[in-house]
Amino acid sequence: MNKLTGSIPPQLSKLQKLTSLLLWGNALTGPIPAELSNCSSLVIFDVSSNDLSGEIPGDFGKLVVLEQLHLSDNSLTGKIPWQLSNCTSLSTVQLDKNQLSGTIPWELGKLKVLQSFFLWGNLVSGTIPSSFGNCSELYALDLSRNNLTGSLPEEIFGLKKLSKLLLLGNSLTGRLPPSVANCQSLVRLRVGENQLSGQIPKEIGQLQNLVFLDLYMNHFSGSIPVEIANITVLELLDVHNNNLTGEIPSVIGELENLEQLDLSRNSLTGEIPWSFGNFSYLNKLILNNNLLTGSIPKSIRNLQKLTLLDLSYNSLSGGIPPEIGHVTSLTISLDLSSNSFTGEIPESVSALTQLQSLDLSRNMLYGEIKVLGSLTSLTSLNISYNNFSGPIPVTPFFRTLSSNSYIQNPELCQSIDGATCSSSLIRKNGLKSAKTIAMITVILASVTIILVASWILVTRNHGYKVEQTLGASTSTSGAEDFSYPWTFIPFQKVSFSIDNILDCLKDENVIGKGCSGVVYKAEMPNGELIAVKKLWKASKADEIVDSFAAEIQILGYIRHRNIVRLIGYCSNRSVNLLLYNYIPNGNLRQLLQGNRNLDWETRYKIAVGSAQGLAYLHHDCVPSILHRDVKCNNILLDSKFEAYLADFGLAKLMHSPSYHHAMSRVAGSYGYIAPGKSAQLSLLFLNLSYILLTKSMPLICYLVLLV
Amino acid sequence: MDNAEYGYSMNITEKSDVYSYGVVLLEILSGRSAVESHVGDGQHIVEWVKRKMGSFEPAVSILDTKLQGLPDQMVQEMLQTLGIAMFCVNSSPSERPTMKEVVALLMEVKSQPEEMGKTSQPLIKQSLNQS
Repeated sequence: MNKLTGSIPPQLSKLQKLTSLLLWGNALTGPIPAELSNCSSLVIFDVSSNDLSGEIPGDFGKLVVLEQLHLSDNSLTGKIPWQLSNCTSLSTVQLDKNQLSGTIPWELGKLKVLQSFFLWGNLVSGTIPSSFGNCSELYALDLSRNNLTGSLPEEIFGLKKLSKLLLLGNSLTGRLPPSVANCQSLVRLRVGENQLSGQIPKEIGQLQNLVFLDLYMNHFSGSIPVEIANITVLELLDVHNNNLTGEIPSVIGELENLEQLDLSRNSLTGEIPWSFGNFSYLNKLILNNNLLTGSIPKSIRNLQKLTLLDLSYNSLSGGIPPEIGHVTSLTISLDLSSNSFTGEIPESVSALTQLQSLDLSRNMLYGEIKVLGSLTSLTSLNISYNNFSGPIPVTPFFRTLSSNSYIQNPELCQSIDGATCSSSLIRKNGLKSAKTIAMITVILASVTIILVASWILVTRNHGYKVEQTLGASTSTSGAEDFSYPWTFIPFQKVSFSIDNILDCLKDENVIGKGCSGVVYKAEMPNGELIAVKKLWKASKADEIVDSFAAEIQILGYIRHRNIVRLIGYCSNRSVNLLLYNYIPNGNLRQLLQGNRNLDWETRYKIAVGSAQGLAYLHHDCVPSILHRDVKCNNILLDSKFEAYLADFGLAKLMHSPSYHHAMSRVAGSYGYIAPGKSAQLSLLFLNLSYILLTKSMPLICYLVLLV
Repeated sequence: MDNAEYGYSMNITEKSDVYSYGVVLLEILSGRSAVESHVGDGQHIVEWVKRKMGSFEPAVSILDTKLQGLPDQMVQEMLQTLGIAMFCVNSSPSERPTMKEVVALLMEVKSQPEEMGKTSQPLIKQSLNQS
């Protein structure tokens, strides 16, 4: 794990007593010197993860005490030398991720102590030598992603210790022999993406240790053997894309440890067994593109770990059972499209607040879609080709939705308040009239405000020049202008109103002040605590405000347990308010400076938490997000000292050159800036704190499953 | 290589966040502020740590006094974390780890109860199996 370059010096061969040569993870080039075969004491040779080229020297056959040969992840070409079979001490051979070609020499079967043989990701062709059946110590055999042909040699299934057999992505033909059942030690049997055919042998049910069974993308036919239900430890069953027929055996429901079940793209008939409700660990259930009929069993409510359900392209009918709303673990996707479902969307679906993708298209569903407005995590929705009616919910997400997501629902209409139709006509007209109405509202409101404001000023200062106040009222009152109209955009279900928030913006509630604004602690009527940050609006430039709003919307989609959650935002003409979850225990700066005896475990926890939050922004969001102002003041802590990254996304606002508050931040963040030549300039940019690198690109942040 | 990360080119990289994170980590370990303005030496924390490490004082003296005198195991963890912090504040951005690597390194600090300490085996990487 260094940055060594150049080639491996052949002179190393003079080291007669060398037992381990570990050069992995460098940038070494050139061939592996055949002279190294003179290092007769060599036990471990590891040059994996370099850029080595050329062939594997046949002379290596002289290394009789060699136990481990690691050549993975290089650019090695040529054949696997048969002479390796003379290295009688070899237990581990890793040749994966190279460009090796030719066939696998049958002589390798002479390696009596061979335990693992990895060859995946090469260009090897020919058949799998049956001589592997002599390697009685073999524990793991991975030949995936090559060009192997021929059938599965039955001899392999005679191995008593074979635990992992991975042959994914080759061109193997023939059957999966019933003798597979002899290999009782098998834990992973992964033969997907081949051309295997015939029936799945019922004997497979005897493999009592099998955890992964991958048979996908082959030509298996016949029905799914009921015996499969005997493999009680099975966690993954993937037989998608075969020619399987018949009904899904209901005994499969006995596989209580299943975590993934994929039967899609077959010709399975009958109903979804009620017994599927037993899958208490199942996180993915994929049954699309079959010929399934009947309705969704109500037992589905028991699938409390399910994150993805795909039943699309079947002939399922009946209503969507309300029980589906109990599966609140559904976070990734719910796809019921292209079936014959009827009825309304059950109200209970509103509980699926973590769901990211919903597809109900091409069914015969009807009724209102108001409930979809509560699905605050949606990033993708398709309800086209149904008979839905009534107003389209008014949420930030629905505003971004293209009409393709709901075409062919003649009764759907645009709405301004989310409750009544603003126009039941064609969408385009609806949009136009919505815009006009919105504009009229805004104009009326501003006229009213100006009138009211001037009236107040006139009554306060008798005789003051009315003409002056008319023009200047908006700009002079600045940050303290709390007048209507307010825009309030929540990113999740909230139980408070803009008035509740405004009531809390009093001096006694201030919990922090920074250059970006003042932070208030606000208690909502139901007792919920939130943090409200009042920003000063960037002067008159409206475009800045717009992009600010756009960014805020994007940030609303970031969800990570170490990042402060943005609940929503409000704005009127001169004030922007950001609403966050309230984190009760102050920031890291206060914690470190306080006199408390902060123990090591707590400090470590904070370090890990903030690193994970930052890693999420950098690596799990596309495009990645730079925080730009990581510092102790911006790491907040809850009552259990869980760390939360705070204070980001205000880049555009703080961009305003006239905004001299920003300058005070320079001192605050100074000390955290990476050294560089243009330190002066860097200070200027640092003011911007956090910049979303690309404004116009959609932001996708992957859901991180915390184990 | 030019270390300038900001400036005209707007060459903003994740590695600047990594640097700032390294500074936070040093603060967590030492209990000092990034810039100690009230103390006489008024030195930046990175310079301060580097000077300490270059001196004859033991590395433990960098740690917060509240953390000194704890069991050896813990002190080892802290020193390892100090190593990660120094990795993050490397003056060359390309030499700094990614945040993903930082998380992995931090996890290692706590997840090696026996192996590393007891046997001084050569460092053999975990083989990557495609499964």
